[in-house]
Amino acid sequence: MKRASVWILLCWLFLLSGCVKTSFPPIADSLSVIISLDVKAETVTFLNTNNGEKVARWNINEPFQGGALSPDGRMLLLYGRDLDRVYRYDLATGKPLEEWKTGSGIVSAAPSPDGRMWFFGDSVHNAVRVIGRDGKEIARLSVGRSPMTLLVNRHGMRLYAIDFQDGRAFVIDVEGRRVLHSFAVPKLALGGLVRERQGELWVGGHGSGNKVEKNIHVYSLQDGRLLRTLAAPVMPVDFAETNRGVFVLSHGSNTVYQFSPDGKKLASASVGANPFAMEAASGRLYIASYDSDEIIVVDEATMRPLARWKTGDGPLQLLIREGR
Amino acid sequence: MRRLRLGQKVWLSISAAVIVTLAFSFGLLNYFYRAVYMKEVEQTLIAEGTSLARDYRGGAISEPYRRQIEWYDEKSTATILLIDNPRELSACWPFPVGYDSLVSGRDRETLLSGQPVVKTGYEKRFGRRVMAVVVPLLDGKRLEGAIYLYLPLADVQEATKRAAAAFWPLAAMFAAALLVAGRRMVRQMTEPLQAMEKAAGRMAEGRYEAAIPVRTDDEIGRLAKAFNQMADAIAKEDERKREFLANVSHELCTPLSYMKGYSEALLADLAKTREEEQAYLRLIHRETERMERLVRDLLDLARLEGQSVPLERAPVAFAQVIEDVIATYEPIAAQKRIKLSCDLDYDLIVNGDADRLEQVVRNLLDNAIRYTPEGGAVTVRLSRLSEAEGELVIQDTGKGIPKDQLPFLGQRFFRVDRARTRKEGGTGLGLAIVKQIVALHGGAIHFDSDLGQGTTVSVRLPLVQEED
Repeated sequence: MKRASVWILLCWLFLLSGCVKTSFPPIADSLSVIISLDVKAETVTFLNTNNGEKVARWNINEPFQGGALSPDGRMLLLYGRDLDRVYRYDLATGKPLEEWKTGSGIVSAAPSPDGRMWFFGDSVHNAVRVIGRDGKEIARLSVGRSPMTLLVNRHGMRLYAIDFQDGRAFVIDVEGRRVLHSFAVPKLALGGLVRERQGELWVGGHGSGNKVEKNIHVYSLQDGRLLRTLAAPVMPVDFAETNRGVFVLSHGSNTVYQFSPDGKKLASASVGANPFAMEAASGRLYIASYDSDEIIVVDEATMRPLARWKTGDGPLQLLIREGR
Repeated sequence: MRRLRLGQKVWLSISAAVIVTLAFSFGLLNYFYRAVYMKEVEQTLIAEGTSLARDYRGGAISEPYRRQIEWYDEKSTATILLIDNPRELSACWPFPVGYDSLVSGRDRETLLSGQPVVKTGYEKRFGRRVMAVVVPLLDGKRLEGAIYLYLPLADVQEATKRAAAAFWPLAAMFAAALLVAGRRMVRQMTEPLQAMEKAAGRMAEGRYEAAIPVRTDDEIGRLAKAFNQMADAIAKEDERKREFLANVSHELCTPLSYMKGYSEALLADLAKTREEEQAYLRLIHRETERMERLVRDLLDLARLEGQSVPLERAPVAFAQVIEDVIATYEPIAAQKRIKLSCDLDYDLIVNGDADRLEQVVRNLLDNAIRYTPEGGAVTVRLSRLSEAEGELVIQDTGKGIPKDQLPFLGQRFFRVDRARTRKEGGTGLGLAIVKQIVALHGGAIHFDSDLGQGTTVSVRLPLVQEED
């Protein structure tokens, strides 16, 4: 009798402990940080944007593959194809927020600019799922098998979902919750840039089979026509547009290219070891070097490296959170 | 199931051992090929790859370097590829590009750490099993390329196959030779055992001839020899027993027939006079006594042989015992006008049973006086041979015993002259008893005689040694 009660107590304690989630070191709201998502180590590293000092490292211990920041910069969201839910964290407290049970297969995420909605690329349901701030699904729009790139235009009216497997891009009317049209893009397309003023969608990719992608494909935002291709070997996968032009990161050749707004190649620089991600802020490019586990800071103007900051193992994606 | 015979068991064990040994050696052969030969090939590939990689100077793979590798590929027995396609190097590893790269994501990690990768197994790209070594071409942390060297495993395993081709016929011959030899060995081993089994069965039925063939000088051979000896001994013992029984019945029969005849004569009033009647009764009485003596001696001998009555050992002054016996025989000797002389060492102490020792002396003296004719002489001598041994010698001037009969002295019911001895009243067991008692005392008895020369009996007994 006594033993049974002890067991029940232990079980109860165990259940309680399961409910208590570990919280991480908080990230002050005032701090500008560059957030490195280290997929090999399953950690998130926060570095001070100004000097690269490590602010905190969160050991997530879940096989996440990507993440996104809420537009207000308060909430970090992590997802992964093999995770059955989306993990959310409050940066200011370091505490986990309520998880969203999306089911597995999430391969991309993007918030609407107003922060009222989230878009998730779902490779299990072959859909873009629209989820409200409360975690309730608002809509589910059928697209290709693996919508790995989600791009939202500035006003949040259009969502561009570029499929990785099927070689198609889908244009979605956010308000109307429908797919307007789709057009062919190269297979294994990844990364893109919406240039509304020019009416262009730049699409990068790995290239399929043993053929590696050497070009950026530029499509018309209007009708999906292929306008031109821009050489950017090898495997252009990330883009950043600033007032100095469009910067393109090619991971196969460890090169960053600078293009003029009208698509003329201005400069290129060798950078990192197998870099996958690039973010631009205050005249600098932050480039995550996947194989050497570091962020390389490059001056936009000179294209020369300014600093190398250590991250966790395998930085696959960078996020920038401006301090307030 | 039928129980296996020993031969079958040994044969099966040998066969199993041969098969296990061959399988084991084949396994070992394979293992050595795998562990040593394959390792050797692997090391050679790594060494070649590393050597080629040493010529890489950093940066993108240059055209001259590519040509150098191609040139080496033509010369080398291994196929050598220079990989600089990021796709083949799994540069897109975090993304599901769905491409079977020559270098897997995990291999890429190893290469990035500067270590070569060794792969053995089926490679889809080449459609065959290969042994491959991948050596990284690293520029800092950048994996700019890799040198991929491989040999079809068929080539590597060709050597194993050749070895196996040579191994199996040789192994089969070896096994056959071993099995044939084993069969012979088993037969040689079990044949005497089977013969012994049969002989034992025959012995149970009372036929004691064994004659197991002794072929070897090992345990089995010695066992066969011992078995033969045992069979002989049993046969002899059996023979002796028969003889003994015949003797006993004969010895008992003689007085019985006397007693029967005379008592019948008495019952039939054949005795004419009172004296005659008395004479018959005396004869009957004499035969009764003889029977009694015979039975007593038999019992005595049985007890001594069976050791059912242990000796009551105590230090005995042997000379005293002899003197006492001589005293009792003096009147008889005087009656037969036999000169009875003695020469005794009174210091000899024997650790023995006084009564039994007395019996020895009595029997021997009895014999000596009995077989010595009137006017003869009997000499008794007790002397010390050494610190540990004394000797009693009884010598007579009797008619002696033929030399060829000497070995039979001391056997039950053995008589040199059957008819005469019975007349003279012996049971034929006296010497047997003496021999037994002497043996029990750890001594030895020896007879020396010749026809007409008299007889000398010497008894050697261990002495109690004086303590310092």
